[in-house]
Amino acid sequence: MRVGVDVGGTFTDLVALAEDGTIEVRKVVTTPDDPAVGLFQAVDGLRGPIELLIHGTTVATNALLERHGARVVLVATAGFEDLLWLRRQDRAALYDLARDHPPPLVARADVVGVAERMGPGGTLVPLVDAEVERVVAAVRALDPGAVAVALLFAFRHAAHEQRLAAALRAALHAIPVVASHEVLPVFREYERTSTVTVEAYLRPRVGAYLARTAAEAGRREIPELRIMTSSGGSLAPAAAAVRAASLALSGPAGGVVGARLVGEAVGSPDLLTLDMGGTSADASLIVGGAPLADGVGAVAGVPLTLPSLLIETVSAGGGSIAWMDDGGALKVGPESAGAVPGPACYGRGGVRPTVTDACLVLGWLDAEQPLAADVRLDLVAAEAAVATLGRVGRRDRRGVAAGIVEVATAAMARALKRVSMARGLDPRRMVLLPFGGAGPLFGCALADVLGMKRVVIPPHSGALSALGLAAAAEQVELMASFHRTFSGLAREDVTAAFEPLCARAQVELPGAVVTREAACRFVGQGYELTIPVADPEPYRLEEAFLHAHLARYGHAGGGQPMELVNLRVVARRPAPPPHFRSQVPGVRAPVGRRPVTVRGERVTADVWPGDELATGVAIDGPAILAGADATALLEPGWRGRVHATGAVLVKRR
Amino acid sequence: MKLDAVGLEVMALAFASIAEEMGLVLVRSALSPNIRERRDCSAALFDADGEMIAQAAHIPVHLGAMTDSVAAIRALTPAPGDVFILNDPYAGGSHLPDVTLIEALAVEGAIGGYSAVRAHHSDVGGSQPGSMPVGARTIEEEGVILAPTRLTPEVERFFLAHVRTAETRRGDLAAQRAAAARGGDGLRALVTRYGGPAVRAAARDLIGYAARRTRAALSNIARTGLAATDWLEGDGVDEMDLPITVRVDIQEGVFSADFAGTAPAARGNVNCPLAVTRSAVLFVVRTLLPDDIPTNAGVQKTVRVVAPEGCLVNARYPSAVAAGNVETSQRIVDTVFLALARGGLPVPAQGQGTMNNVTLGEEGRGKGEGWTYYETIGGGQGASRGAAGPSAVHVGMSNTRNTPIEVLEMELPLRVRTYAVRRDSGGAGKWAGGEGVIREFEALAPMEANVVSERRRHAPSGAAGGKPGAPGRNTLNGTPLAPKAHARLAPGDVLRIETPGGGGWGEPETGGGR
Repeated sequence: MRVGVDVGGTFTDLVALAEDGTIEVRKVVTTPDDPAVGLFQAVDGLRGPIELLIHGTTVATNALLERHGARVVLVATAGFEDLLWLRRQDRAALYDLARDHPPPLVARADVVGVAERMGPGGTLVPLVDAEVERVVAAVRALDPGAVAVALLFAFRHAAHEQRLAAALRAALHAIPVVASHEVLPVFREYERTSTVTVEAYLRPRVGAYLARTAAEAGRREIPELRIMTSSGGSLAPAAAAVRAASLALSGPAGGVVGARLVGEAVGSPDLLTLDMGGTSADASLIVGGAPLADGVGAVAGVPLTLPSLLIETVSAGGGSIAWMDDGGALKVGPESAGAVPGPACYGRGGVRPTVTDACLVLGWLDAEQPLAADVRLDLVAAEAAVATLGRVGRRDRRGVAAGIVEVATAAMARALKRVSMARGLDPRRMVLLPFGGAGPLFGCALADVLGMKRVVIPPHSGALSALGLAAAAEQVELMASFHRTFSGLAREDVTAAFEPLCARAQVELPGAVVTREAACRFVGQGYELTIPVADPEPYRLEEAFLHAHLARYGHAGGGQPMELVNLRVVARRPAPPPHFRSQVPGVRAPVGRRPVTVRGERVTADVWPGDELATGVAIDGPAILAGADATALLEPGWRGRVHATGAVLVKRR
Repeated sequence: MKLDAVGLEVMALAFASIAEEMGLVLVRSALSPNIRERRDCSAALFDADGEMIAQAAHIPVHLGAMTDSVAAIRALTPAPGDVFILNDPYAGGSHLPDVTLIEALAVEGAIGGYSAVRAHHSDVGGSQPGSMPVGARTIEEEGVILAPTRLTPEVERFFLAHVRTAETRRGDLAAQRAAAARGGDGLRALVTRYGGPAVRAAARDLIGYAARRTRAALSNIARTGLAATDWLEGDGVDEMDLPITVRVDIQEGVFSADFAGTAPAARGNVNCPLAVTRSAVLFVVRTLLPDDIPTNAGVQKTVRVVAPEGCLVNARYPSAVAAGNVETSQRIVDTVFLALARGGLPVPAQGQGTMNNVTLGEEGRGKGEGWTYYETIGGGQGASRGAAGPSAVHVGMSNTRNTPIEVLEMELPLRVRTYAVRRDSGGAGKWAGGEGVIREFEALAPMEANVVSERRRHAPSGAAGGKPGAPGRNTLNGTPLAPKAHARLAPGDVLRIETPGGGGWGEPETGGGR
């Protein structure tokens, strides 16, 4: 069977896809000191042989958040050693003049300047042997844990970086040395330098973790281990270890893959997805059946411009803390209780009220049902936390909890609107797919605020990320710089430029399906759009770019000249899709009723077993769909119908 | 109706979301990089009485500035659905490149509010491409003037006939119109959901809430007679320093700034209309407030700004104003901060106080042969009590990004010789001022160079005993240039810009600072 394991902040989720189509879900508490312990606890509970284990890891993300990566020495072109401190010169906050950007991952004293310079046309200042020797000695003297080499114009003229990297590798043996043209061979010196620095910073820690995990997997005779990357494909551990920065969104990418598979199975190709767990919420977009791959821009405040699915962390999630401001308004977030201490109801020392606590007070979550083996929800603690807000107008405690949920919904709706509108997508024409343990509680309310008509509550919604991992393709991406305007460009030029990339892709992933993509822009534009290259005929590419630009930005440039700036090749070995199916015979009537507070009203909701619904059953709100790892709320006025996949398709009645 | 704690926040988020959506529609669908990428634009939603409910400001220079624009078109007895246009600095505008579109929003058959969208158009005619002519002496030299008027096809044709890049302008105007329309959609959706009376009442409550919180914050720092004078270093025609003088009184929750004593109108184009002065003062007030107070009419109401008629900061027709928005607004912010610091308030020290505008280019002989490159350069932020000033950032009224070196060198006959943090330029202090920036350009072809900068003679002040930041410095092949200078460059010439550091905060201690 194929197994996906997603290590989250609080829980480690496992999904096993067996040959016969059965789907098994397991959940254990995450072991933050060594996430591999929890991972294999979950794995060891499985019966039957594992063919393939795909892992979504937070080891890279946490190293960035907690700043415990390697000591990096950065080698940069002389005169430009300060690039990481100059950033793009915009300030961290418009009105808070004391706030600064997070400091770079490198200490300024650990930057070594090199007398050399490449320009757009090649060498301007040659790199002499004596300088290479001097730089190697200077780097060695700093005793680095990893070395990043980032020189100007190395995306086009890599010779100097190659010589320096080779000399450093020869001298430093076991210390990782990473050159910018290897990691991100595209223009824009600040983003490239920052990205190669992240790669160096993460590589020792990520490499050690992956080696240890691979050894553990080997000991259990698991024949194949793969690691999920931010772009939604998976890689062998050795390949992933040299793409450490590509693992920054490893887990959330699994969620997007899972959401895409559910959308495909229920016939909804255009989705706004929201992954909301106990501690945070991530939004993403799937258009025409394909997740948007916009990149992340930054992780933990550190710019990182590697290929990635679009995943935006929304400022309000399950762990967001509610508080009263001094002008008498109830706020939710941006401060979060995170995984530690977590919501008050987790009983891990949290005392401030969070969105999850409010859900429990409202009766949306059931204190009788443990979240996992050793996490029980503590209603008393949740009520006490909500009570710390004091009197809020004429509201009683449930009224305050309802207020927390209402504000959190408004904040999430605003963020979801921003994520979609910024890409020219109108949420009213999309379907909302909420998942994660808590996402389906907010589906109807969010759809209302956003003017959306349809909500899909996926099967296994609490473990959809792990499911996406189990069903992830194997995928390698390669990039190269091109930078030519379309005028005078011939079909052969494009084909020839792609050739070395395609050849390398075949070596890295033999037998894979290789697709070509081109990042194009109007000349002088500050951003690119990536289009598939089915036919490398330049005028076809121009057409495709104009078409994509019109769809995305509402205009096609009005005759401005275009250029092809970057090439990208994706090699992919697809995986079989999971067999989603509802329970047979399945449950056709509610198994209970319970009082819940919805929109400030106390109503009695039908309670349905969320994981055992029979195909075709209609469920009218108010209803609670209580699953083993997630709970959904159908508000009054909404009706759900159980799809053959086990998904519940919800519409306004 | 009175909103409770939950209603306040839910409605604040809903209104903010509408303004934000308008801004996104604008930025996404505009044609020109100045709007799309530098985001020199903003969008705001107003109620039926012309009071601002929410604003999506991408750069602070537009803060609260469209209230005058809405007032100007309300004088034209709008009907529901009417769309207006204006750029006249003397009737609701700021400087001519800022073109504002306003729609009177039809809600249930009446005007339910106004949506206003301002964008900096990269050319609005006038004597030089870019419509920011250095040395202009009257507003007529700066471009076409649109007094507030209904945007009819005739008006649009008139406007496009007077600008250099008509097609791009047409696209940008369409984007502005779409953004304004989106504001109407958002407001109508809210009315459908909550009902007209509830939405109107919510807007009033939110304005009251912002006013209440702003007054409370200002009451904590009540003080009167805070005064300061700072200097503008020439106006592009004359080299002479021009004083900006302010007296600030903070009492009964109102922030008053009186600019009596400020220089009379300048001969060059560094004048600014009172709306811009008000935005600059509002920016200072905004930095004194907690982040989560919504920017709406409630905040604006607590700010009073007066200035002698026709002076540098309350310009009258026909004074030229193009650079007032860019550099004078920065100096107004600095002067007000200086007054507050002298009065003992723990405000940040002065930052670099300039945008270091560098324009390089060459007129082409034929169509499409010419080029221009415009860059503004960051510098040191002033230190705050408790924090060193950030280095190498845009301060005050600007916040645009740089052009990557690799982009610059691939596209233009320029080479960047160094790009570095300017060490030891931040003022010493208990907390040190932020460091400036050094950017050195080498011309690879003949070209014109224009530099418009400030803080080359008068250093950014420290606060509470902190030392001043280092003034900036511009040189051509090592020879110092005036703060505002024009030069013809030959291949091999080197233009070096060293931007100012920020002032320090508090007496320096040995071993203290950054």
